[in-house]
Amino acid sequence: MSTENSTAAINKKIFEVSDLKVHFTTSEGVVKAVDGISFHLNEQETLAIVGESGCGKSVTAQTIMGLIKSPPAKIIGTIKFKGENILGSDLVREYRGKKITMVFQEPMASFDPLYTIGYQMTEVIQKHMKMSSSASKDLAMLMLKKVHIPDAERRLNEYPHQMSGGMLQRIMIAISLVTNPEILIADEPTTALDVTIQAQILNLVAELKSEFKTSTIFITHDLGIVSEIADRVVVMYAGKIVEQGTVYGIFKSSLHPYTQGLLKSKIRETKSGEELPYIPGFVPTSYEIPSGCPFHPRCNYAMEICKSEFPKERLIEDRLVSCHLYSQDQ
Amino acid sequence: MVLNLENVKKYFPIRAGVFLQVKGWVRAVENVSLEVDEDSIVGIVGESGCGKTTLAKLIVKVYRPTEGRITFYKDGSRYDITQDLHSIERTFRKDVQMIHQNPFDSLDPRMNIYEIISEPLRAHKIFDNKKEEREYVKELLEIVGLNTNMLERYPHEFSGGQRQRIAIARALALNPRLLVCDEPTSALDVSVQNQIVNLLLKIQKEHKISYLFISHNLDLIRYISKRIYVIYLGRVVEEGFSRDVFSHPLHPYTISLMQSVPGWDPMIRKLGNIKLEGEPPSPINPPSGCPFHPRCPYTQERCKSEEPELLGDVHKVACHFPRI
Repeated sequence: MSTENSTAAINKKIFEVSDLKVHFTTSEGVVKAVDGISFHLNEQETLAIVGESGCGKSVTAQTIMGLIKSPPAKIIGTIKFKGENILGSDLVREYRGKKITMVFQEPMASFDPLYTIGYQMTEVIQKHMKMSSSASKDLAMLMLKKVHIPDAERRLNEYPHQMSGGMLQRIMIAISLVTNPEILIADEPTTALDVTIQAQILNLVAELKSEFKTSTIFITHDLGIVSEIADRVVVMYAGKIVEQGTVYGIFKSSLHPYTQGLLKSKIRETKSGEELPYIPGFVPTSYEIPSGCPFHPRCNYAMEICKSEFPKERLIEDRLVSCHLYSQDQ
Repeated sequence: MVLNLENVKKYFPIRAGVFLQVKGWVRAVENVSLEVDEDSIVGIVGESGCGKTTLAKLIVKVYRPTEGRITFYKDGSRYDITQDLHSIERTFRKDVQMIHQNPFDSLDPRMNIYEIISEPLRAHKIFDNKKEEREYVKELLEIVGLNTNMLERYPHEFSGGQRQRIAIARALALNPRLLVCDEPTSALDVSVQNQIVNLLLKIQKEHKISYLFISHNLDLIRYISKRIYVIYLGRVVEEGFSRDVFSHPLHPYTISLMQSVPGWDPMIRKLGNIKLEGEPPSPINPPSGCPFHPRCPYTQERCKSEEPELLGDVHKVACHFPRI
């Protein structure tokens, strides 16, 4: 859906995360939710962060937004927005909700049930854009129309419980784009929705993205969605990035065994009666992340070195991959 | 045949006011007929709120239908179980088991694995001998691929996939003839889902259990089931053999459902072509005529006033103008 976009993507970094670590000290030990990840976002592109529960993808998003308090969390590394480090600086307050905005997974939980949609929309507009209340109401209405909410005027006076999940997610998207942000972070925005509604929301995001020229970080566990919307992909496993590259490269010839496993587990191409391809074992909990490469207990190619040492990231064609399989031949 | 539903309806009353008078009805299941044969997998697909979980609960006799008839077959006899199970209760409870969607809610956190799996055995007084019972529970654990030394552990020590295996072991304990699986993999991680599906299929083959498999995942339903029912707003809108329905979907809803599933090829992005507008209507205020007409791209006058019947021979469809 954003094919015309991807070809026009300007390869100019707008945002860069370097060696980011987010560790939490708990009574059961240190949880390394995010453990040394580096990636960047180019202007106007859609970057998908893919991974399963506990891989650190949501913590990454929350850290970018400055939503994780430190202390108690230990956050190391840099997060640069247009060249300026915003991690731990007051700048994040200025940017959050204005230049960098976020859409959350649960539309039902993202709104305050006690206030009308109109109030919650104009609150954001007045806070960030210094507009009069009537002007902000007009803008809110215009945004509701942009996300295809019929009868926008009436909807402004209604409460969140009067809307469906799909509609709330549209409104959430309207709120997140009203300040004309430079970066939109969408954390599993369609996971709680049905497939037909999901398709509508994904189309809406693509449509608005080209209108507002927003760079997008899209967090998901669904590779189907990734193939539909992303320009580049970051694959995370147990707090680490195992592979990143262009969406075409990753879907054509993934390098990391975990990415390969995820791509193979597509049900659609398996005939009835044949066994479904799968990755053995289970996703480790954050308390007991395996040593070395965290994927080694589930990996068919695991070697001795994988148990003790996390592989360095290597550049192979369009791809950055962290796997010992590719260490020797370089 | 294991079980048969004829024109089953389930309405829930909406009560309000001082005397809790009935103000309206949630028409969760509206006229569903369905058959489950021995040793077969029946798939039910639909979006949230379409009534698929209510249907599952009607089948396992958690709910009583408002109208219609449910028949249970056992050893050549048939039993009308629409309202009560009567004399067949113990047999029915043994024969029909269920696996729930969320393994984080369906296991009692205060019971260890042995207690969880052996509870149905004790309720039905299967073993008099503790040792035999323990051996049997170990056997079950092996079937579902868990280590037998995990018996004394508690649910919180397991991952989602492992918990779902425990739930499967419990469901198998009484040697059921029908297993109702309500979205058994949708709460699990992607890399673990296929393991559980493989396990369920292996068990089906070895033990000849019938499955009623409920899911919103079309790929999974196509892969796993022989016969499928597509549900929209409590009604069966299309029914047939899985291969027929997927190769030639007839109902516009089935077609748009299939088109809405994201592809896996970044070179062919297809979601941008979808034209399905609107959202599923509420079962409290269903639209007149065909329930899909407000969203259907092919709506005509007739669709607004007259509800189509489910017609056809092997491949049935409830649509005035099916897409042939």
